[in-house]
Order: sequence, then C-alpha cells, then structure tokens
Amino acid sequence: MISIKYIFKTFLCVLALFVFMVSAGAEEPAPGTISMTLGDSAYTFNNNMVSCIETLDNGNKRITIGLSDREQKVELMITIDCSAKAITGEQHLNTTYNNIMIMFKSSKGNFVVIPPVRMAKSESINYIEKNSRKGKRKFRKRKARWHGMRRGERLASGKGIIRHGQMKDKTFSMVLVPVVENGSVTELKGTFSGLVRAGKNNFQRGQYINIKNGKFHVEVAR
Amino acid sequence: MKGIIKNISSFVLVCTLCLFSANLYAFWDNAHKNSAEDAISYMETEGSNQQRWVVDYLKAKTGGRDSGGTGLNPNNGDGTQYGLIGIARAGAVAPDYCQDLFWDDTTSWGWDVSIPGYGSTNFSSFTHFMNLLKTNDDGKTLKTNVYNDYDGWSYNGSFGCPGMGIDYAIASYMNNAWMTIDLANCSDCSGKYSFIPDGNPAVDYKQNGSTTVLGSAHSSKKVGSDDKTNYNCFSDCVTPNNCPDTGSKISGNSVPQIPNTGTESFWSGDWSKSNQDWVIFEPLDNAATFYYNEWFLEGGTSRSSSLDTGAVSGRYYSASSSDINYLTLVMHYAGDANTQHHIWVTSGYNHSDYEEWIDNAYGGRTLGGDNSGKNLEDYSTIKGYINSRSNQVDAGLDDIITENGFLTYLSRYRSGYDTLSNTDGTTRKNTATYAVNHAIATIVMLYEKGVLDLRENR
Repeated sequence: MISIKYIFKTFLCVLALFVFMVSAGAEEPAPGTISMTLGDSAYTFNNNMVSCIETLDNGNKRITIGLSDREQKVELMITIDCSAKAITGEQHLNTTYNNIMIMFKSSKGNFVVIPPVRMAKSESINYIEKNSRKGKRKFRKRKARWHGMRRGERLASGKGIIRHGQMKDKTFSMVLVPVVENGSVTELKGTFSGLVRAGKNNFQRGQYINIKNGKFHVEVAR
Repeated sequence: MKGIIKNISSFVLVCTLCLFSANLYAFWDNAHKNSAEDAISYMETEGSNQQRWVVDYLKAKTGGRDSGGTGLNPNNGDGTQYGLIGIARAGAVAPDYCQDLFWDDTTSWGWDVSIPGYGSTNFSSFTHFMNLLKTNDDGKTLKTNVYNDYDGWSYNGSFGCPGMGIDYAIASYMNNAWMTIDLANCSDCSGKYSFIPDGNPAVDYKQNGSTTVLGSAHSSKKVGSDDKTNYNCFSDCVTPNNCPDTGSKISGNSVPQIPNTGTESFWSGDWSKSNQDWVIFEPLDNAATFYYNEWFLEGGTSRSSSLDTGAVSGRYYSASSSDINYLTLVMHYAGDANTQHHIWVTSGYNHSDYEEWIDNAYGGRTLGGDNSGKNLEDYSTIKGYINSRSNQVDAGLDDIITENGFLTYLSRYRSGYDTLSNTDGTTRKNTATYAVNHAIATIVMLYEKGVLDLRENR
C-alpha cells in the first residue's frame, strides 16, 4: 500500500521538476539584447544599446542603459541610482521606493515613469527662524523640522517630500543582476515590468499600457 | 442595462480626466492675471500721486479702463482683451502662450515637450527662469554664469540635476534635440506665435553678450546643430546619441558644468567626452528687458541689447494702444520672479502642484474681497515692499527684477516658506502670500517706470 508520505514526496518531486522546466523555459537573453512587450507590441533590440555606470557627487552610482534604434524608431533609457555598496549585488527595484526611471520614445507613442514621491534631503538646507524672547527678537538657523521624520510621517504631513502627482498611477519595477569580475561590474542582466500611460497627442493623458516580459543583458562600457 | 451605464460612466470619466488634464497645465494663469489687475487697483486707490497719474496715462493710451483700444490676444483661448485692465491681465499670461521656441527632437518636433500621463511644457516657458544658485542639491558648487550675469534654466545647472525627477526626465527625453535659431526664416515651424513681428524672440537677446545667435541655422527648421552654440544639446544624459556625455568638469570639483568644447564624439569609444554643448536658456530678466527696451520703449527700431534713448524720443506722445501691450508682457516676468521654483530653476520639486495651489487660492480671489484663503493681497504690505526695495523706478528694469529674484531665492530659507521640499498648506500659503504681494509691488514699480521712461525722453 502506498503511504501518504510517499505520495507527498512524489508530489514535491514533480512540483520541483515542473518549476525547473518552467524556469528553464524562461531563457536568459543573449548579451547585447533588450526585449519587452509594450501593450500589444513586442520589441527586441540587438547590439544597439549602451550601458554605463557613473559615480555621482554623493558617492552613489548611476546606472544607465540606453538605446537608439533607427529602424524601429525607438529610443529607450533606463536609469537607476543606487549606493556604491549595493551595485555589485542583485537588486529588486521599483519607482515607489527607489530612484529609477524609464523613458521610451517611439513613433507609436511615448512615456516616462519617475518616482511619484521622493524624500527631500534634510541636510541640504537650514532654515532661519525668528524667536521673540523678553521683547528681543533673535534669528537662528536650524535644521528642518522634518529632519529625522520617517517616510510615513512625511507623507502624512506633507513635510520634506517632493511629489510628482502625475506619476501616482504609473509604476515601473525591475530586477537588476550585475555580473562582477575582479570587483567591477562588467555586465548587467535582469527583468522589468510596469504600468504606464502612453500616447502621442498633446495634452492627451494617454491610455494605460502594460510593460511585460522585459528582459535585458548588456555590457557595461568601461 | 448595467453594461450601458458602465459605458456611459467610463465615457464621462474619460471626458472629465481630459478636461482636468487640460486645465492642470495652465501654469498659474489666474494668479498672474490677478496680480496685474491688483497692481492697477493699488495704484488707483492707494498709490502716490505719481502712480495715479501713471494709471490715467495708461488708460488714455489704451482707450479706457475696461474697454477700448486695440486690445491684446494672449493666445490662451481667452480671445482679445480690451482696455487697460484687459490688456494688463492678458499681457500677464501671454508669454506662457508664445510658440517661439521650436525644438527638433529625434522623434518629434514642435513647441513643447508633451508626454502623455506626465503633462506638457511649453518650451517658451524655459526663458522664464533665473539661476541664482551657487550649489546644487548635493551641495556641490555650480558654475551658472556661463553666458549671462545670471543664466536661465539649464539642466546641468538646475537644482533638480542630481535626482531622479522631472528635470532629469525632460532632459533625458529631449537629450540631443536641436533648437531653431532663426525662427523668422523657419519654413517648417508651423503654428508659430510670437509677439515680435517677423523676428526672433528673446532668445539670445543678451546671451553671450550679443544679439546674434551663435552658430549657423541648418535645414528647413533652421536648427542650431553646430558645436559651441548653446541650443544644440538639451542635456548630458547618457544615451547613444549626439550628446551623451557628462561634460567637462570644474577643476577640483566633480560636477560637470562647463559647456563641453571637447572634440571627441560618443562613437569614438569614450562615452565621457563629446563635442556638444548643453542648452542654457536666456534668463527671465533678459527676456523682460527685451520686450521693455526694444519693443515698448524703442518700438522695434533697433536690436542692440541696450536702451537707445534716441529711439524712445517722442514715443511718450506717439505710443499707441498696441505699444502698451509690450509693457504688459513684462509683468509676466515680474510674476515668475516671485516663484521659488523659477529662481531655484527646477521644473520639479513640487513646482506644478504649488502653482496649481496658488491658482486655486489667490487665482480664485474676488477683487477687493476679504476671503482670508484667497485674498492674499494686502495693499499696506505692498506699499511697504515698494518702499523697501533698493532699486526704485529710476533703476534699470533688469535690476528691479533681479532684486525681486533675490528676495524670492532667500525666502526659501525662512522657516515655513520652503515650497520645494514641502507640500503642506501652511507652507504654501506663507510662500504664496509673500510672493503675491512682492509680485504686485514689482508690477506697480514697472508700470510707473515705463511711463516715466517714456516721459523722460519725450
């Protein structure tokens, strides 16, 4: 008689095999490839992109992946800001919590997605405050009162935040996997997806379009 | 039945959204208009004898207070407005509705950057900034006096430069776009709307110390694509196009600031160098001075980037109703000089939300009303602000506007007045109240100055 334990183990093996087969079916793109489905349109770009990593003033890194395809009449740019420490590891990013941007231009339509909310830098400004004591007026510099506030507090109070209201119904997410050789990032691989508004006409709010099955594998310029 | 209701509901929602989006980008139209009207009302009721006389002169020239004269069409759908109040309100918004900066982008060309779901920015508005910054958001030194004493909007000099914001998005989107530098002869620039008959707009009025645009105009769009013209590369964002680089850097500082005059191109393999410059727009004080000197005072008889008093002679008597229109255009820049975002040179950092707030508050005020949430103007405060200015009506117009710009720049440092970093109503009301009253003060001074300058050379 076949035991329940045996059936359960068999089920787990079959499940593992299924997952392996599905994963194996999601092929990694060849180097120099970016592909995605935008609405009903499928795009594949080969060997016409550039990727580079800059060091910003504050020590953070800016990763840029850009391409210009004259035949398909498309320009695409993805930019990611991250810490120098994070750049050599896998990152799961989205416009809600991270500084990433996608810009897409084509003859069929255009869109840009940037973070809908950013936290203002409290160290970048000191305010002048007037105090009156015992009939004397004194002015002093002090840090912003939202300095040290948590994200939730800032969002609720409207203090220390930078909003882009037009972005609140759009989103862009990606998984970034760097290939590291001798401590330097030499290639970038990953996936991306999102929900955007795209269209062509002035003042048109555009229609919602899904970004699906986005994949990339690019070399980093040195 | 349910399906029909759902379809109707969807249709109504779409229509509502379309309407909303069209109104969302009216800048702060109503606030501009109201400040110009409040300035005239102040001069009539609280002004000095000289200011009251100035208003009488202007009414006589424009055919009346609320009607008469040849009027002014601000190109915003309002139609031609008549009388002193009509053209004052029209002129206060008209520069936002010029179509006189034409960009040839790689995928489109036209008068604005229009990204569905993001919005639309008229390129003419990029000459409505003045960069008084010394450092950027990261605290790094900026080089901002590249072409003028104070430059206008420039991506690399903008406050939003280091971050992932609207400035970066626009710059990335436009990237290697080229601008038309000979608008008069551009045969492929349909829809041009300029208040300057058959001429270039304020672009390069005093930029580079010259009235001649740098570089040669190419193609039917007359674009400036040559190296060392400051209108051939919108940004230094890295994409494989004509201006992908980070540019040259100030010695000892990592911030790319100097227009790149290197000779290498992207495709030579080094993406960090390029032979392209990045765009630096003319500042708002230059644009205001252009309309004031060359068109209001001189009637378009010269384009010398300075005041030619000989050209002014006699215009005190001969100026027509339509000539007064040029004076009203100047008041738009007086308004913009009081918006923190226009002095901290960013299209982002809560810029459009703040201007929308002002339009709903002060923009919705009733003249002479006492709604504390909308009537932000206070004539006693305005009188105090006028008296407090170092530059009075005998100073140069650009000095008056620049001084106002500095007051706006410094206002951000007052506790409770930082609209770039805060979206709460208290901060916005504090800042808007300060801005509205200073804007009205400046407009009063400029109307008075305009008539006195004509009279001085009568």
